[in-house]
Amino acid sequence: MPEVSQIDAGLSPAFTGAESSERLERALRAQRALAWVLSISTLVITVTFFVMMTQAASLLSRVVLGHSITLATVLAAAVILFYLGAITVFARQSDRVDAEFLQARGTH
Amino acid sequence: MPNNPIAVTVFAAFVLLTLAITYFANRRSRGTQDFYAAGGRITPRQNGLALAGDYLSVASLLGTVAVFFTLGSDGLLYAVGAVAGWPIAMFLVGERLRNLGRFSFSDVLSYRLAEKPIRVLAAVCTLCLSGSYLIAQMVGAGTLVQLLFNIPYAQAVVMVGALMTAYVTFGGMVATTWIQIVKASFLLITAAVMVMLVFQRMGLSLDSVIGGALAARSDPQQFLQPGRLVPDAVSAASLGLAFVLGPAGLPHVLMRFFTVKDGQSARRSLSYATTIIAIFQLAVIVLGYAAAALLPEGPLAGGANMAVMHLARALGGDVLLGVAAAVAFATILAVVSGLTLAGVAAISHDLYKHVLKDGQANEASELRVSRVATVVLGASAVYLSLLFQHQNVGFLATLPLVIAASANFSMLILAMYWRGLTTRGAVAGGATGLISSVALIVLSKKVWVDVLGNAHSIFPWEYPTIFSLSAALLVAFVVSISDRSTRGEQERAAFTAQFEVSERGPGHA
Repeated sequence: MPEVSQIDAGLSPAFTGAESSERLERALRAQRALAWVLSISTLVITVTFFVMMTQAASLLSRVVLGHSITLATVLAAAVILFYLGAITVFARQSDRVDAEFLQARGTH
Repeated sequence: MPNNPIAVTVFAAFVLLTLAITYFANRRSRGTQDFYAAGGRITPRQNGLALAGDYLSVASLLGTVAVFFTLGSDGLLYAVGAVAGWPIAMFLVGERLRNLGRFSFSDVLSYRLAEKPIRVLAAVCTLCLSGSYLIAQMVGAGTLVQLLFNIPYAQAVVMVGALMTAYVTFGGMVATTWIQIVKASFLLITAAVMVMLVFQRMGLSLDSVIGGALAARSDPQQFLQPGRLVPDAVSAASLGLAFVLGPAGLPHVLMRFFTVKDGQSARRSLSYATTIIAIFQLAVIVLGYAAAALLPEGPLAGGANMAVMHLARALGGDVLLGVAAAVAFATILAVVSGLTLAGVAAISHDLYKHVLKDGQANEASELRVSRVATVVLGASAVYLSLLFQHQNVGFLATLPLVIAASANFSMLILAMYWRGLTTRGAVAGGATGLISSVALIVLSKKVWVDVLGNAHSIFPWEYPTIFSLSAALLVAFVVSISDRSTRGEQERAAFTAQFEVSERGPGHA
């Protein structure tokens, strides 16, 4: 996975210690919130998919793409792509936090 | 199946390579930091591959393709499930776990809670979980080797047991990490080659592959319709919960987070591991439908679990079959080594050093105990595998994820995120999760009817995660909030410092 550089993380030049600590705190709060939102989303989406595979079997067996790709296959692929998207988003936010840590250490 | 010289050659090459890795690992290993955590020298990319290797057992390939072959679209449940737990491990567990601990998740659980009762609980959960997983893998290994290499079951099991004991005893975490990396690489390359051959033969689209499967089926509509693998919504939700929360509670997976240098590296490892596992499962979906398209409907030689082997032969003749067989066996060997190491750590690091010796054991004695424990665990696994040879051990493959979600993950999340958890609550909750998981699976159809021969099951659903996890959380909550002891107050007060360290790394206490 590509690592976000300090420039991409939106790191600006010189900050005071208090300002960099404040930015770090905001970044950490955002990371925590994102972690829980993405985790709960992952849980709900996965369990919903599993339940639909038993309760909505007729609907999921309908062909929606080409001659034989069913809604079940499309949803399965979409769920896996959601996981990849979620970890990408979280990785970018975490890289911003890492950059703020570096900045905060540099100004103390 | 007759002996396949390609399979024997590739497998022999793998064994020689892994023994060489073990030899060099033994020369580098200097103490417990190397034995349990590879000295923290593994890079995120390497650890991502090793994590993927640890998690992708033979069931991920053989079992999932078998479900596609026999039940059609229901295979998508296993394909999605195999990836589902990794995002949460990255978001909530990986980085914080690494920041708080040294070798195992019990280090983290006991960060602010009382050491002895927590380590005993963690060790019991680890041994139950790793033990059941190990027996299931060993029985599978014996059966697979018997089918693929014409070696008698008992000899196959003894060979697997001897090799895994050697890897762990002499090479520890350094050896098992590199063995996982090699195995994961072989597995990914083999799957990629098979997918390319499928597309070359059937057309470069999933539509043509699934179309081929439907054309080969006597009842295409039934093939497309899910709902036969898991019979009801409660079981489906429970299975989904086990897949989502279980991986972040598997001891042999959690141990790998400590092989990198810091929390950020642990988080990046998980990013790599999730990507690798997701790509692999997308490949397995293609292989599953291809097996249904290219293999005759009906019983296969060796059973449905051999579908991927038959597919390999259909795509690439005896050469590809040989490679696939060797890779499957290498997969089992690597996974059992990781499981054994986790069990050994529970015995030597948790029970011996921290419970029996009050944390005062020196490194040399701890390592000696580790090596003895490895031999004992290896011998026990071989013995139990011989005992279970003719038993239906399918339930042993389910049990680990349920225990991991209900007992380990639940207490880990509470310990790291809830100020109110106390030792009494954690022990009561964890024990409830473990006992209820085991009891409800025994009372379910998988054991009560299929193994013990009773007419009807007592627990009506196939997977108990919803119930065992809820019970564990409820008991931990109630016991913690009613704990008014001085110790309990101290543990709550210590939460803030622990949370800071988990978020910012050691040195921020």
